[in-house]
Amino acid sequence: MTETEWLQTGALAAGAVAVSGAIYAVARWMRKVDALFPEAAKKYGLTFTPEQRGSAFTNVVQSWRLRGVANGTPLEVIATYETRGRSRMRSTLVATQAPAGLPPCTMNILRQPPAAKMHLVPTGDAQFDSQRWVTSDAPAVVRAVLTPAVRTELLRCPQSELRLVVTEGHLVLSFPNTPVNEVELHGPMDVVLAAANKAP
Amino acid sequence: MSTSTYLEQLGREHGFTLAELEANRQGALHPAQIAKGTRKGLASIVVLTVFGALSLGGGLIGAYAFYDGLGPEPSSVDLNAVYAIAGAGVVLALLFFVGARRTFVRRRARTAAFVSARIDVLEGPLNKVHVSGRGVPDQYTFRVGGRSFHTSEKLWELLTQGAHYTCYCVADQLLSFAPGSADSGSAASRRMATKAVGTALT
Repeated sequence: MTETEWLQTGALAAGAVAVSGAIYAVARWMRKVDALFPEAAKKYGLTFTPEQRGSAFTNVVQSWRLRGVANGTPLEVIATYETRGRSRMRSTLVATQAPAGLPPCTMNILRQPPAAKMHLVPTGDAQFDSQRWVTSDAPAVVRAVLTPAVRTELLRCPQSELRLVVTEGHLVLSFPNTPVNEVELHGPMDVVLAAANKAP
Repeated sequence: MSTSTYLEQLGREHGFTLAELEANRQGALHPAQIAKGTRKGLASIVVLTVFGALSLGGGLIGAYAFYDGLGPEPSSVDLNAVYAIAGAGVVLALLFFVGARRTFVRRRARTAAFVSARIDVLEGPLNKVHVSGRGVPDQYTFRVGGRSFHTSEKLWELLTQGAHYTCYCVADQLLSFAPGSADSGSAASRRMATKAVGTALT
């Protein structure tokens, strides 16, 4: 073989290795993402149910559900991926029973300061307030819900925005995406368990 | 941040003044809003009608000019081209005229609403919707009291998801809006959350 032929063969081999490596990395990442919900089900003692409707030629609704009782607290997690025409929607919600006597309220927990400070609610925790910004029109409920334990768990959540809704009987934490790693799934679940006053 | 500063920010982005908002709160329209409301849509009607007339004239005159240059015995292919030019002009003109008529009907209803000063007050928790996609511009919308309003990204960023707002509308036009009280906001948040949870927990 000539030097040029060796170089060509070497380049082809390097290309094949790079492509194989990329395929392996993607497959490994997808396996890891697929294992997120079954592993969380095992850790928290919940039941995992995957669902899918539609096909490659129609709109698709794919959901991953965790349901059961974690440390004495009823917990439900629903992550949904939905296609509608050219639109793609991803959302996740974690729900439990709200502590008794908690008034209804919606609060947004942001990693960036909001454009307007009108509904900004400082929690009084300097460390938390320097890393997260909470907006709501019911500041008293925010301070009641965001206990030190809840704030600690919130700081562990990597999501840029979380929405916590308290309603009669329900406490729902949601974010506009589906989790792709353990922290993104366990973080919100731990927040909801802490907010329900049960240790995770 | 004080409420008036926030209202000024909202007004600057949406296009209302504190005086206009105050008038709407009293159940009345500000003279500037009446002037703006009755004027709105007039330019669209004129532009669409002019475009329609130009399309009609262009199509018919173009077809005649083409026909005129064909000589005494035009072929059937040339005649088809004449019909196609005239037809395209007429169809295009019809589309413009239909658009102008729809705008006119909407404007008449809006003007009537402004003249009678019928203000719809919408209250409830604000739901922000952002739709983004490849190859299409981002859409920013907010929903209050069962009605959706398209807005700019800057105004959308100023709004608080789930907080209670009161909107003042006339016909299809959002005149002004302001954040509501915390108490009423909580009541409204309950309805929104109940809808979100659905039957998730039983």
